[in-house]
Amino acid sequence: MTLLGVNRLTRHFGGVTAVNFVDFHVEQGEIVAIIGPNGAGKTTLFNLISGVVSPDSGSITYKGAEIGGLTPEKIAALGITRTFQNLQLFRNMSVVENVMVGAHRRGKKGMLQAGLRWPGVAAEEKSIYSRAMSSLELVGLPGKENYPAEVLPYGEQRLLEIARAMAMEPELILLDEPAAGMNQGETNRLGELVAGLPDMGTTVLLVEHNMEMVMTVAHRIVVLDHGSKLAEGTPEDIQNDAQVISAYLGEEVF
Amino acid sequence: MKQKERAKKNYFKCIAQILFMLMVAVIPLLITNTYYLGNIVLIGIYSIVVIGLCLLMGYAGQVSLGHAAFYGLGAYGSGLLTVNWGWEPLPAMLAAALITALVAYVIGASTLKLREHYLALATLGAGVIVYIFFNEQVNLTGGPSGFSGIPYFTIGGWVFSSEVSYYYLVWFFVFVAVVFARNVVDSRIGRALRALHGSELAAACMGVPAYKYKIQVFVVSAVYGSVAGSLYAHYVTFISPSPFGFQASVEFVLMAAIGGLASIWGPLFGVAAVLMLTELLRAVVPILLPTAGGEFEIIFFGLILVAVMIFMPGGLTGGVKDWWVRRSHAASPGTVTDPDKAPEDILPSAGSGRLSK
Repeated sequence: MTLLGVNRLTRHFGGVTAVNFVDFHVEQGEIVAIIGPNGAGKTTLFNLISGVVSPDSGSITYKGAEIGGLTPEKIAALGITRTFQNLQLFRNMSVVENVMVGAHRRGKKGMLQAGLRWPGVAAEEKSIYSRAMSSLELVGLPGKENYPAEVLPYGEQRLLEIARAMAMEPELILLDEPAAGMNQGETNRLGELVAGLPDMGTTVLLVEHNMEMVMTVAHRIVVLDHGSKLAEGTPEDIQNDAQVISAYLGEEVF
Repeated sequence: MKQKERAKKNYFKCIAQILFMLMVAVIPLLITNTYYLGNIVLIGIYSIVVIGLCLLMGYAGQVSLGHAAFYGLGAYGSGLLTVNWGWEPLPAMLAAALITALVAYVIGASTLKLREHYLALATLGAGVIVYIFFNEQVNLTGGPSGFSGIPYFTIGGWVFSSEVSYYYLVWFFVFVAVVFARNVVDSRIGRALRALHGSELAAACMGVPAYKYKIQVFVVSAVYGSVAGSLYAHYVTFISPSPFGFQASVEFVLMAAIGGLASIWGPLFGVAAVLMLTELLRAVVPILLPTAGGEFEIIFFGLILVAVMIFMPGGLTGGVKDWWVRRSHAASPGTVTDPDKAPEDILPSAGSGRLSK
């Protein structure tokens, strides 16, 4: 089943066309990577899909329904969430509290019920907490739940972003350069984590510069350059695509 | 280990609450002077307003410069309903709170979508309008001279006419106000509000409905003001517009800032500190500067506010907490909490405009 469909999507910023007539789709259970040089429009594409910016033209469909131009909050409610290249942690909160915000939508009780500790509120809090803890375990950050989020090392902050997003139990997760700033060992473990997400019911759309990881985990790759789609195919196709090599990869990468 | 830590934290919270209740219970036995007791009643009434304001400022990152208007709506609502229409005080209090909630909803719904401190400006304007309404609707409110004859508070035939009984009534409401606020802060809603502080963008991508929660917390904080106003009206039994003007709104903000915004106990300390300082100034300044007018209070409080913002951005409670953390940090170098981290955004704009980037 096609989960996400992007059709002729375009977005300008002033005179710059950040995303230009881009077409691609993501099937349920897939890991699709988007690669391209800096300024190719990868992050803008993520911002469009997650509702942070609205498209100028073209469409974004999720399970066949148009989602282009919806607010991030509505898109999250449909089961799509994301991480951020420039970390957007809640720095004023503890590690587990960060992840608990990811599980926010598990709860249904409102402010009055919370204030009065209505029956059911405690059970809901417990389920949010345990969801958050298993999400932390998933990314390999157990035992650090009471640390302030901002004291974690950089690589762990990236994992925390993923834990927070996964606490939402999304159907589609957009990972924006999750390996940036990670060392080799951390990147390898991240690759294993990402590769396992489809088995948990989460489809992955990934922006990443680490080619080794992309080529290992991605089922399909979309190459962007100057806002336009340059190529699309399996990792093997992409590695052998002359156009891609000259535009971006360069032979020494492999 | 973690479970133990959580349990320990809850244990301390419990102890603090019990100590607080014991202290509240014995104060009237120790302080029999009605003037002092009356001041403690006022501290309680103001604390309710300021707890509400702290929910808004500390957790939703919005400032209200018109909280005295909600306080006034509660007072006038209760006063008018009981005096002119013969309502019982308790239903009158609830009706006044409902009216205030509606007014706050209208103000909040039209301004909370805007970024930065538009709410502050809108509440400033609304506060001035309500103040003028109290002054000019002479037939209804008695105008600048106010109106008297507000009955004592009663619950089912029990009359709170003595100072001591009113003291217990007010502090019961303070306790409820603290518990409600603490429950909200410790819930998914409270976390979501704090998350909005940290990154509105990320919170939205996790499905947190920012606008809805901001309106809700604004309405709740206005209702806190209204309930305090009702308690004030039944306490002094006479009301006029003057305690509900702009200066009162600023004083509430000052009390909140001095006590510490992101804290539930802070308001009690903030209110007490400001009221005690006022009393002290009134006693000391005329001796030192016989020609000084009433402005010295404003100047002095202005200086204090600036000093608190620079040296103790977390307010009194935040300052003490920081000192404690630094102390225990020095004792055990292994702790992870960074003592040098200053809570940078004590009066933050919740939005910081990140979404528009």
